Amino acid sequence: MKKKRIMNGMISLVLLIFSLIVVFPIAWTVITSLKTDVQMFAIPPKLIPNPVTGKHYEEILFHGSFLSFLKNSLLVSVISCGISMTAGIMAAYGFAKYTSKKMRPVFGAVAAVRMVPQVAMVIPFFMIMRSLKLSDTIWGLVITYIPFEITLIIWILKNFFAQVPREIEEAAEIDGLGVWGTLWKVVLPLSKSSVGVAGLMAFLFSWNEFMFALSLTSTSHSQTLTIGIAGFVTSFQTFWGKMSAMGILFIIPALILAFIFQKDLVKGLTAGAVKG
Amino acid sequence: MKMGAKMGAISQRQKRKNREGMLLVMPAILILLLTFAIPLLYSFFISLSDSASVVGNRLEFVGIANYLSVIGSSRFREALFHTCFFVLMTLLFEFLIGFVIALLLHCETKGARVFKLIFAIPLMVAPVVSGLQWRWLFADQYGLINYLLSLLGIKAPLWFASAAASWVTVIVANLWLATPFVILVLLAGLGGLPEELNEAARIDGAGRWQVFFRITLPQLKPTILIILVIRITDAFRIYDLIYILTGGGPGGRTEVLSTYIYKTTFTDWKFGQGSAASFLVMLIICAISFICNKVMTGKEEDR
Repeated sequence: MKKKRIMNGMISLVLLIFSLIVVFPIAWTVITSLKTDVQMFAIPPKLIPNPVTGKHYEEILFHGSFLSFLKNSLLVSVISCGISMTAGIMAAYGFAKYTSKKMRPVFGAVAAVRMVPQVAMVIPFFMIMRSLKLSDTIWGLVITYIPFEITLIIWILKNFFAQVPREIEEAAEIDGLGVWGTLWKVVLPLSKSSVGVAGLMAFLFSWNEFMFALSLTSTSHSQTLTIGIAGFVTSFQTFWGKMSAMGILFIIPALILAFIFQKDLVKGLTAGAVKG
Repeated sequence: MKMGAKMGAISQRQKRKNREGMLLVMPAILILLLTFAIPLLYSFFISLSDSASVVGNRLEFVGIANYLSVIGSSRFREALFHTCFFVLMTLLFEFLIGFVIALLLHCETKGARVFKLIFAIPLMVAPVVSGLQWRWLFADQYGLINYLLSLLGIKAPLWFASAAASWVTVIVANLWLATPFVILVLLAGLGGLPEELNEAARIDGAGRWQVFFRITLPQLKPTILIILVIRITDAFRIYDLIYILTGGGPGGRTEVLSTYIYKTTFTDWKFGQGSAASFLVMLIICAISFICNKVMTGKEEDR
């Protein structure tokens, strides 16, 4: 009995140390964001900021382009997610419930989209946006992100929709609900959490995306937060204080969403690799 | 006669259902055609065209010349080699650490929920932000890591000056981002295993390690293969971290396929070669996924 308790204590200890390693880069970013420039470059590094300063946050919020980066990130993410969720939910339901011979190759094609490395799409999107005069607009990014988000959503939701028992849907049909009614009033409420996770994954994709934003935007008119934060590293100097403050503001929305959907997160992570 | 009418009604209903199915998937398919299939096809044409002509918006067909020039270029082969090295290293450590932590977490009773919540954090953080955090942690003079190492009496290298040390920073940063995924998915896999087998084995006198290697591990095979497919294809595409941490340096010795393609295209302005290289990468990723999938389905048929 005693041996077992020691064992359990050891396990908790290892996990605790590992948690500290996980938290430590973020904690150090928080600490850095609250330090004055003098303290930031102190040798040896100071673990606790003294005095605590909100200078970096103030500069970001009131003197830089942070707010326009934030606006662009939000707009791009919300619009691309909205379109992708609408089309993606419908398609996932279609693929889950109507498995005729004609459907299978269509789904195979959708699945293959995920095999395409993103860098392969940078070149055609760059050329196309230039021709369509959509370079350096948020619409260029929205269009670019949609195909990746839609396939992600279809992947995640198809398996969940397939699990909704036939009987429930048949009952709904007998009650006179058409396909749309069944999807909207019966299937969606039953798979609320999975739909949430699919939405979260799609949102995170656009919120955290960097490569397309780097090639398709050039001014704060359309640049997103990832570009904004990378801009603090210049060839002359890196603004660690502002970078840290912006980094913290950047990850807060993602963390909040993650905590809300925490329980179903793993389902969303593995979906897609489960054979469809 | 009555029978026939009934059959007709059923197939009528089936037809209607199939039409509904097509209607449901139609918007997504149309969007994917416009925003994915057409650009991809366009990219394929670019890969067969002279680079200078692409920049001028006319496509001059040059056949497979771009592919040959990419395969012949030592920079591409180095980038391919670096990418494979990175994928192998990061996967090795992800699985080593992932397994240890997942098994411990599986045994943990009290704090499991809190630990899981903490381990989910890196999955939400943008690689760009994480890359910047690690760049600051690895900073030569003011970095926390060098300070901690000096407390242990270790003289830290200049992290971004040598290829080996640069790779350490990239792999550490990537481990921080990706290991939690391996942990959480393995943990979910462990949670789905029946307890009876383990107990039966233990009653038969099997030791802890024997139970793990003979019983737990074989049962986890599907989970492990899922993680492998996702992580290999993801690691193969690494771009953000390299861009932020090393920029491919020093002297191109951490250049990976994505950064190579990006530079070829947007720095050297060689769109043809860039497109050709990206189709080659696509081919490699497809081949790897195909092999993984073959292994996965092959194993299922065995059962």
